Amino acid sequence: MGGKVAIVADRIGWEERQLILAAAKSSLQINWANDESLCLGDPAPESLSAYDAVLLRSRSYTRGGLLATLAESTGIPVLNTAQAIQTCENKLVLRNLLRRAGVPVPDFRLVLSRDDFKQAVAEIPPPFVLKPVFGGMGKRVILVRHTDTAQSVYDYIEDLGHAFEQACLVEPYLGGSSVRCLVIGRETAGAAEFESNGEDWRNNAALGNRSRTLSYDPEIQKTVDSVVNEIGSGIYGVDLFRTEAGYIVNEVNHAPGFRAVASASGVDIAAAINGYVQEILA
Amino acid sequence: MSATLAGTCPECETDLTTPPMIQGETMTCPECMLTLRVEHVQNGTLSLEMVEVKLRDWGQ
Repeated sequence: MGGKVAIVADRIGWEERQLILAAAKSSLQINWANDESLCLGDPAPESLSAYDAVLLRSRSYTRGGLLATLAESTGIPVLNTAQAIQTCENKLVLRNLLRRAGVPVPDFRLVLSRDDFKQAVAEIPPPFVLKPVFGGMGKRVILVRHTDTAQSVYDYIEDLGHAFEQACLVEPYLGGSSVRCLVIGRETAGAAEFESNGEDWRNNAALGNRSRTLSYDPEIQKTVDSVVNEIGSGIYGVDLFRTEAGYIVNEVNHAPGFRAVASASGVDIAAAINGYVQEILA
Repeated sequence: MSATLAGTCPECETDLTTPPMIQGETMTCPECMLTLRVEHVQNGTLSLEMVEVKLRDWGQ
């Protein structure tokens, strides 16, 4: 089925371009809609009136959930759902939701103050990871290897301009690799293992790393299933840590990059996403 | 789609020639190094607007 879809983002990156190019080979038409100028709020906003669906690709963790909420209220399908986006945008909310559902996640402590941090360090000793509740792409994620440097690292958190940015999680360091699963609907369309490139302890695709494709693993799909059961079908990047006890869920991206997974796996992710969008429209 | 597109950096007014681009894509001005976003493409001409390299709250 055809249809006109708005890619909502502040710019067109590699992924969005692939989606637009793939759509040109199908009955789907995808156009860029600048997330800075939709002016949503009217129950029938003119900026979305020409579209049959919205594909939310805002990189901003502020804009995504807000725009999805109002786009959904117009009655057209929005991918991902506002609820899913809002859940994924907040690492604490997501982790708490999954843990309560029995989905394995890393242990963590919420840190809102120096006192919280001192107690968290006592309960989760180094090496541990200090990461912002809101954020991604590995930005401001710090690996603390030694107790004697922990408090001086926290000085920088205290100096951040707003409590919103100061809210952090402390969690155990679980090694320098992770498994990134590109999920479309309920299925894992591709998976790759990412490792630090040796120059930076982080392994985020946005920072450069080494990756290798992973063949189908029922344990990965079982973990992905348990995540999708909680946040609903959609298009996600699900990050997993491989541990001796099995896979545990690190975080879920609601507007995932897929260049590295597509490159490592050889899967035409853009065509698969567009196929899923067409299913929704049908 | 034409083989190349032409535009002018809105900041330093350098004339630019680019491979095919679509609305919303970004490029770096080779002269002043600012990030430019394609607002429109019409008759082989790019309309460009300066944008931040990345927004402070990127990282969904």
